[in-house]
Amino acid sequence: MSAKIPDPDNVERTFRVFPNLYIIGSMERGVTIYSQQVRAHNLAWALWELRLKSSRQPLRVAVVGGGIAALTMAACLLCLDEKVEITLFERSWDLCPFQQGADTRWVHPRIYDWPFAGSRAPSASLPVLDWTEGRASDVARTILREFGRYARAFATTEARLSVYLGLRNFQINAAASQISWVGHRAVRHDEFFHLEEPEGKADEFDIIVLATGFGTETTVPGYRMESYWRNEQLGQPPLDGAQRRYLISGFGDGALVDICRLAIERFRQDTIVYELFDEELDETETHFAQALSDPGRSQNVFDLLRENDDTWLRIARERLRNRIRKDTRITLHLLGRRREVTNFTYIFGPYSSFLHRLITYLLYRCGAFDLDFSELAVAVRSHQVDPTNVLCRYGANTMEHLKKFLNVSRPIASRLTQMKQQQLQTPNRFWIPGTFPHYSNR
Amino acid sequence: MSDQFNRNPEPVPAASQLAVMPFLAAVDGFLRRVHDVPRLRTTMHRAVNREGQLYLQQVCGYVGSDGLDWRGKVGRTFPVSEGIMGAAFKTRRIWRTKMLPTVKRVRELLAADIKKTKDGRDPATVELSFLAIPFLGPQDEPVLILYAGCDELNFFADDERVSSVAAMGKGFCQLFDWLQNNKPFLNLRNFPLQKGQPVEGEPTVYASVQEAVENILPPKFQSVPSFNYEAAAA
Repeated sequence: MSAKIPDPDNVERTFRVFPNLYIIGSMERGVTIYSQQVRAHNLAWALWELRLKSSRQPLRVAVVGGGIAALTMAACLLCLDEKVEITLFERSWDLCPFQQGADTRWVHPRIYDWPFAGSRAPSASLPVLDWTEGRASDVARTILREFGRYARAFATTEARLSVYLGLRNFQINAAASQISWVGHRAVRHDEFFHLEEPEGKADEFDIIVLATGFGTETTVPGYRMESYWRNEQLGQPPLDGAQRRYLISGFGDGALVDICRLAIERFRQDTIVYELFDEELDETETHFAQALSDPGRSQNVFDLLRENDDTWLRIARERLRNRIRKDTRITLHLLGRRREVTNFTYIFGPYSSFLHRLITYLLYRCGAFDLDFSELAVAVRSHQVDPTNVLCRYGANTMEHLKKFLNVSRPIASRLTQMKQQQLQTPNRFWIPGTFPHYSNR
Repeated sequence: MSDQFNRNPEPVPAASQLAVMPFLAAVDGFLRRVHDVPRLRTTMHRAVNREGQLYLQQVCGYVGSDGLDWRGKVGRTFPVSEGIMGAAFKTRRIWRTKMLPTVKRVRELLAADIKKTKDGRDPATVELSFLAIPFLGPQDEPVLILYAGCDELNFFADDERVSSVAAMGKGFCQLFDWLQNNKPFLNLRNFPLQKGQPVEGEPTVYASVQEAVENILPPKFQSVPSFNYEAAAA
């Protein structure tokens, strides 16, 4: 067969919020570093095909955000076409502020796609800003080093890449394709930046790309709410010999991975499937991948897991039973933003990765945590949990986050809502193989 | 078809590159054992899936007398119908440049073939001899394809030479079968690649100059269906 080449128009459309305003992944479910990078590659490729390839006009692009998706977008555009002039805006004082120094969070490119083929491979295998599984801090280091190399190879003039850090009063006027800001222009020295004096400025751009993620997580007054990416010691056995009670509220991947860390001895996200399934791993993968390819089965997987309890999951359950942490007691608090969660099976819907749902199911079968469906304060009191040991993993309110710097007019709000419903920014690699030049060939 | 592919690299894990390079260096050493061979270079391609579509991908740079020519080469992707590799992929047989009487005759035939394939190469600079050896998987699917080219007339028309390289390939397959089954390295694994639908166009083999080798069987893996060695963190 001939290569199936997607229509760049269709790809571009899935990212377009407003004419010349695009957003990467913020309204999608199941977002990972890898999937955001794939989206950035896809959008860069589509824009290049549609706006640059056959044009002689320079294209002024604003990339909003300094995280991994934003850096990938900027690097992709830089290497694709010399006519692109990029201005990158980051509110913090450095790039990749979330993952830098995050030594307690493990990131893997595709383990959340488990049990599908290729999900265990440790490298992202992306042409631009490629990385391999590791601590989030290691991945951030790789990404920043790679971005520095792309910038050195392709940002050969000052106009090609401008970076502003430490932003204040940052506002986007989508109708006018205009951005106004107060911030420090950053002068690049390889992967590091020297800041100039702050300046206030307004400028127009041909394209504005929002790679701002979801915003910081929703906080609950009175309870500990470190960001997911901040370092803590949940995964470490305490040295004082005490047994502590924890309450985890939520049922997305952020909540379920913390259940795993608190409930399983020596838990590591990268090795757990090998440890649970060992010699049967390949066959187990094939079995569940086949089962999940039936859309009817993949929506809520509780019944699927229960049906396999005494067959494909039996040995894994026994192995896990031997690894339940003795130093923690855990309550999983389930209620939902709209108080929609009234039973345990609900959380086996498509709100988290299959791997986390499977491990949570096995932990439940091993009696590794209690369940509570009452109001949070009631649950905390009744389980006698110290408020400092309450972890609320509710995700972020993306719309509120966007409103901080974007005039969310009615058409924009309507389009964002549509994007959230449609989930069309599929993290499949749509660009033609070999599209992106690499810095090593310059 | 080739126009649909850009020639920039898609990543190949360093462990996969390292796994084939010493073998290619040994092949290079063997091929030069009697005398130096002008413009001799070897490389390896693998069958790789991307979103359900199967391509060939150059696993490492070209191994030659000057070391490794890798910039702009490693990671390139091709349709499975590309050149002599495409012929090896499709037929699951070894392919080579056939025995021809003179350099002049090779150039004449190449000029005609290049006109047909429209690959844009200059017949005066195309290598005089090519070799493509598929390394087949358990289901006879091509897993790897060794590619060699040089500027010596009839270099790969010598059955004994081709047979020796194929035998080296057999040893390579046996070792990787053993590694696949015994997994002696905790963190170094062959992460399976998905099967895909081959992406092909018009074959661009030089049909007048190149031929299938019917009397020498290609090497075959018993246990390795795809080649994707990677180093895991733990």
